Order: sequence, then structure tokens, then C-alpha cells
Amino acid sequence: MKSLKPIGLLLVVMIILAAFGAYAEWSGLLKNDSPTPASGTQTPLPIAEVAEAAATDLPATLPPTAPAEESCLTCHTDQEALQAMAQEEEAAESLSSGEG
Amino acid sequence: MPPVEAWEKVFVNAEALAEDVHASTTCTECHGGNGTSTDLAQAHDGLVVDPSQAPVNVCGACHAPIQEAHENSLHVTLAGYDTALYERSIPENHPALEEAEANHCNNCHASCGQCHVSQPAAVQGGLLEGHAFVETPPMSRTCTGCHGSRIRNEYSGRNEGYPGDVHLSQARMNCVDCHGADEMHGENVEGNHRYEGAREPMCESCHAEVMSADSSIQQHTIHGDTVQCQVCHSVSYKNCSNCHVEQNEEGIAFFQTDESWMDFRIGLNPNPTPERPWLWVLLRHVPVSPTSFDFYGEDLLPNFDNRPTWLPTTPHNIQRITPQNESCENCHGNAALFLTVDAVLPEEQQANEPVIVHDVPQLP
Repeated sequence: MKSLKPIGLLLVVMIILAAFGAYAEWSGLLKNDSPTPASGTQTPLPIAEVAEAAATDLPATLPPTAPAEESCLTCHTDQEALQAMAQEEEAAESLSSGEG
Repeated sequence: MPPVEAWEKVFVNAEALAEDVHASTTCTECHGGNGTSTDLAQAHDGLVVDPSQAPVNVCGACHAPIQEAHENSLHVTLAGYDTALYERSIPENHPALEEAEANHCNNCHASCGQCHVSQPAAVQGGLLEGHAFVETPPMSRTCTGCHGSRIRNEYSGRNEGYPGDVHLSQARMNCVDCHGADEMHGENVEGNHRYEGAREPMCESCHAEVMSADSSIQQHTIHGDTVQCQVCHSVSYKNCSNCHVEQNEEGIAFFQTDESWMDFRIGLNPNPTPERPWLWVLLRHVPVSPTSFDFYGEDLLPNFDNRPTWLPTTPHNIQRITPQNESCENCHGNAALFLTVDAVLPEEQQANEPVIVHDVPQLP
């Protein structure tokens, strides 16, 4: 039994090192797991930055979208994004008076 | 109509839309644009906001008969405007009037989508139910969005001191309960004005029994073919005058009208037809004036007197009992109810000669 102790310790150390290595590899993947932008598109901005851009009349970039054949619904079902980008239109008939 | 915020106008309810048969097509098949771009400008490049109207008319791909009929409906052609203006004008002035119509009137077009998908463009749009297609347009967000200041206020009793229509207050009837799909889609509709051609809707469609020749209601058997139903069954309604249109320096179109007023005037039917044979009709003052379009050219309505400024109307405030039908004497001999010459502005008397009542009917 005495002669088996170093082998057991060695196995435990190897298991711990293997687990740590796998975690390191996994966490690294996570850090680099942002979707590759489609060619010709700009890097998406976070919602807060989109709102800021909208406030300065430069709403040129949409929120992040999942890769899909059409991404229309990604934005048009995102209430927060739409609210952030929305710009109230000036009423075209605001100069009118009387009943139309 | 409750205001709709800018974001809400384009917010799509994916769950509701997914259950709709129209979801079998992609967004860009109807709306164009670039569905694969995540850049705002690129994604919306070439976007067709309302693909249900010309020149795209996507609805016709599946609803061809309705689309074809609808293209000739007054909601699309707006022919009523042309009828009203051209009769007072001359052909040389038509281009200027058409420019004015384009700037001030054409946003009243009602496409398929502006009843079944969104609020009308005339009220700056806004999806009704997150882009789900609504089979029966909601009255308060579509019909009265355009027909608000007169019809909505009359129908719902918003004119202070005057009751709303019994069809709403007692029967909770919606616009489409009388104005059915065929009429709204322009099926079998003829004429270039809403009071030309077949009469839709007709009171008789529901009230045939009380309006028949052997009706138990004596007033109906006496007045049936000579008096429009509303003459006895409406109350006062809104009248407008002196509308002028123009654009500001930025090209924004706007209008100005004088203060409207409530009035009730019985007059002569200027155009008796087999569909509308009555001698007596209700008249409403319309807001046109000889100088309404002076911003677009001088004297564009040189034949102003060719058409009355008091025109037949069908107020939407029907009551079974009204002040004028409570007794024979309340109407017969009561000049205050009739469009007598003293109730017409001197400068409009020639135009209104066909409808002015010179002899108020007395009791026989």
C-alpha cells in the first residue's frame, strides 16, 4: 500500500492540471466567441452607444444581430433598441389651424 | 386617437405575426430593402414602407379581385376632390389644383395596409397589432383616424350638447357593421363622388319593415320617397368654412379654416336620382371658398358658383326621436330648420340657389 501513495498523488495532480487546462482553453474560447461581422458591415455598437448615436443624429449602426438570412425582425422585435434609436417626427400639420 | 410613439409604430410582434399566414413571406419580399445588412442605412435602402399601394400593390398577388376593385374606390382615387374642385374650375387650372391636392389631400389615400396593418398615413401611421394582419379594421384607429372631426365626433357624441348615434350608444355598432367590406373595397361602386351611384349603406337594409309602403309609422308612408331619412332622424352637426391651404418656407403643407359651428339645415336636393330621389335633404356647409387655393395660383376656382357650398350630407348622429320629429309643427313652418336665403352668405347665394328653400313647407 505504501508504494502506491506516490502514484495516487501523481494521478490527482494530473487530473487537476488537465481540468485547469480544459477550463483555460474553454474560457479563452468564450472570450473570442463574438460573431464575425458579415463582410461590408460595421462593428455593432452596444445599445447605450446606439442611443447616444441616435441622440446625435448618427444612428448608423444597428444593435448586434444573430446571423440569419434576414435580420429585419432582430431589430423590429427589440423594443429597447427601437426606443433607443427612435426619433420623434415633427408633425407635418403643426402649422394648421381649425378642423380638417 | 391615442398617440403612438415613434418606436411603437415599427415594433413588430413576432409571436402574433408568426401565426399569420402572411408570415410565410419574408419581410423584404414585400418591403424591399436589404434584409441581410445590419447597417441601418443599408438595411433600409430601397425600403417600401407601404407595399400595399401603387406601384407595388403586393396584396393583389393573392387578393387580385379585391385589389382591382379597390384601385377604383374613392378611398384610392380620391375622385370626390376632383369632382368638387373641377366643377368650380376650368381645365387650364387643373394642374395647379392637382399640385395642391398632392400636397394637401393625397395623404388621405387609404391603401389595404392602412386599414388592415397600420393606422392611416394621414395620422402618421403606426402598426396596429405589431404587423399582424387585422381582418376587420379597428374603428377608432383606422376609420375615425381620417373621418374624425365630423363623423367620429357625431357618432360618439363628442359634440357638446348633442347625443351620439344610437347605433353606437345602444347597439355598439362599429363602422363596418354598416359600411361593409364590399363598399370599402370599392366593389360595385360607381361614380366620382360618394353620393353618386349605388347608395351604400342603406337604412332600409336593416329597417325594411318600418320603411315599407304599408309601414305602421304614418310619417314613413307620407314622407318615404320625398324626405331623406336623416332629415327626421339626425340632430345638429358640424359645419366648416373658409379653408385655405399653403406651404411654409420649408415646403410643409398646412391649412387654416375658420371656426366650425353646429347647425342643422334642411334644403332642396340639388341632384335627385333614382338612388336618391328625395326632395328634401340635410345640407352641410363645406369649407371651400373662392380663394382656398390662391397659394397655388390666382383665381383657380373661377366657376365657384357652379356648385353649392351647402351640400347634401349624412350626419352620423341618428336618433329615433329628435326635436324636429316630435310633432308635425316642429318641422312644418319652422324656418329655423331650413336653409332659407337669409341663412346663406350674400356672396354664396348664387352658388346655393339650387338648394335654398324659398318656401318653407307648411302643414297641409
